[in-house]
Amino acid sequence: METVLKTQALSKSFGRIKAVRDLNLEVPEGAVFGILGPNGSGKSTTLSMLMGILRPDSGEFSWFGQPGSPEQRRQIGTLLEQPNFYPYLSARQNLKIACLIKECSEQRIEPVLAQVGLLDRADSAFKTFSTGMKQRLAIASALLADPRVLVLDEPTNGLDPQGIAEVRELILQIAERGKTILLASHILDEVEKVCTHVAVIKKGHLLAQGSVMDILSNQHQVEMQAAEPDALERALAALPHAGERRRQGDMIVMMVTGEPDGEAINRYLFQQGIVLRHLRIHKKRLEESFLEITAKA
Amino acid sequence: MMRLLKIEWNKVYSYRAFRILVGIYLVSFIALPYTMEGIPFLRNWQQLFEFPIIWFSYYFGAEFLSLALAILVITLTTNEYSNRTFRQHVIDGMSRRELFAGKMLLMGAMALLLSVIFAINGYIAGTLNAFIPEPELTWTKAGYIPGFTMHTLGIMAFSFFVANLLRRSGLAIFAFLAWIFPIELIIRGVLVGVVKDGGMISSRLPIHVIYSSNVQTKDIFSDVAMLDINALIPNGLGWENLAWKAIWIAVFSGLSYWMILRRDL
Repeated sequence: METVLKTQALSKSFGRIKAVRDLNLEVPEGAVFGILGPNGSGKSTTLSMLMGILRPDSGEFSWFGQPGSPEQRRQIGTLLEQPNFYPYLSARQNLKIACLIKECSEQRIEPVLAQVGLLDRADSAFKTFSTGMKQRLAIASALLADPRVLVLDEPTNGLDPQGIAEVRELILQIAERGKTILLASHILDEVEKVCTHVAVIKKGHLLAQGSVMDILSNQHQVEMQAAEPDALERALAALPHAGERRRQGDMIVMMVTGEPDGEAINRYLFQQGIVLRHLRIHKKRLEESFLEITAKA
Repeated sequence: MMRLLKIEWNKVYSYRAFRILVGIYLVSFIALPYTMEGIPFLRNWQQLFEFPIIWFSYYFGAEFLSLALAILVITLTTNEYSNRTFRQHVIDGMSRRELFAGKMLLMGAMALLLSVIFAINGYIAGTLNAFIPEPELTWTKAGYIPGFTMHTLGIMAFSFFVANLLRRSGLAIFAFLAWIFPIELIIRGVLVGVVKDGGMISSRLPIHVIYSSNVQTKDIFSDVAMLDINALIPNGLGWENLAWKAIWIAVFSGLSYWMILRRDL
């Protein structure tokens, strides 16, 4: 699989603040790659360097195996932080300028406006748009040149729940067509719902990188409750292949690598004389992995 | 080149402030050689509005109007920063060199177009004002036409530099006006009073060079001028002034290019 983006020891400081430190990323083609980190972790700074608007202090990056250039950026659809358009121009006029810059056909304007549901407002001035409409126009602009790669920085920022769902749906639709998507977000739920790969960064450091499955370690959590939690815990300790356990009140949460067999666990405990009054198996959430990873940093 | 001009044109032609400012400027600019005669203290100098001195008079009046062009350039440039559209253009695949070249082309095209209007309008006004037609005199002082082109480019290059430096329209317009009126005048005063050869240095300062009509106004309105104003006014701005204008245009354009190229957007 071709590597779409590779960064090597990318660093950027603003005065004494080191926003990004020696960042090494590798984004495979066709991935929906999430850059996950709390606010101020260096996500936007990283994307700004990759898109040529901030100059790295050191390190380098390559798109499609070549150093960054304006010609390459025309093949990348980008939405960074907030939509930037001329407020007095209509959606159509703004996209016309983007077309001239990207050297793509103006016939693309109508289809992308239709794709983001803005065709009926094509001739309204940008300044009359709501936050969600502005965001959708920015996505339309990113899609203009039918790019191989989409770079989206907090694409659901400021949107209402319906807008968030629409944008996520749009991202998934685009990903289905084989496009590579680089998505920076601090919303774990968003990354978990749409991404195939993830890089976790904090204070400019890369803490973890890999497929979402790898980051989650394919772990499941088994929640159990019984009348006698101590007896339950003792029984679980003797269970073959039992993972790490922790107590939450009178509930015991056990980590299991791979797909746990609820029926087998239940039968085993019953044989040990323990009757469960609660048994729930769920996949380990990215939120838990994220908190574990960032807590170690 | 046409692509960059097309991009710039698409940005400005629907911009109301651009239309209003350019409209007011053009009306004043075209009316100028016909209306200056109406200024009471100029009424006695009929010669000023006949060939060939009209080229000088028109140039002299147009210098004041070019303040509107400076404000226009500052507004258009600082808008790119406040709307974050310069940033977006780079993201979309424009090089920083193209950001600079687009604005320079727009300014160059405006300066060229205005120079053509200057030449045609000056010719019409001079013909209408001619007391006795003297065709051999029509173009003798036409050196003020390229002079006007260089003046326009100079004032736009300076305002483009200030706009790129400060990035905020209010601040840039204030700094521009402050430099034109008190600051450069103070520097000139200090240079003349304190430094040896200060007079020579002070006459090379940018606004003095850009706003140089090469003629002392007091000479024109002296009694001697009544007798031989034609001899008092040179045929153009002179090579030295044009060369200094070119130097300042290069300096301000170069600095703007450097800022666009090197700074974070």
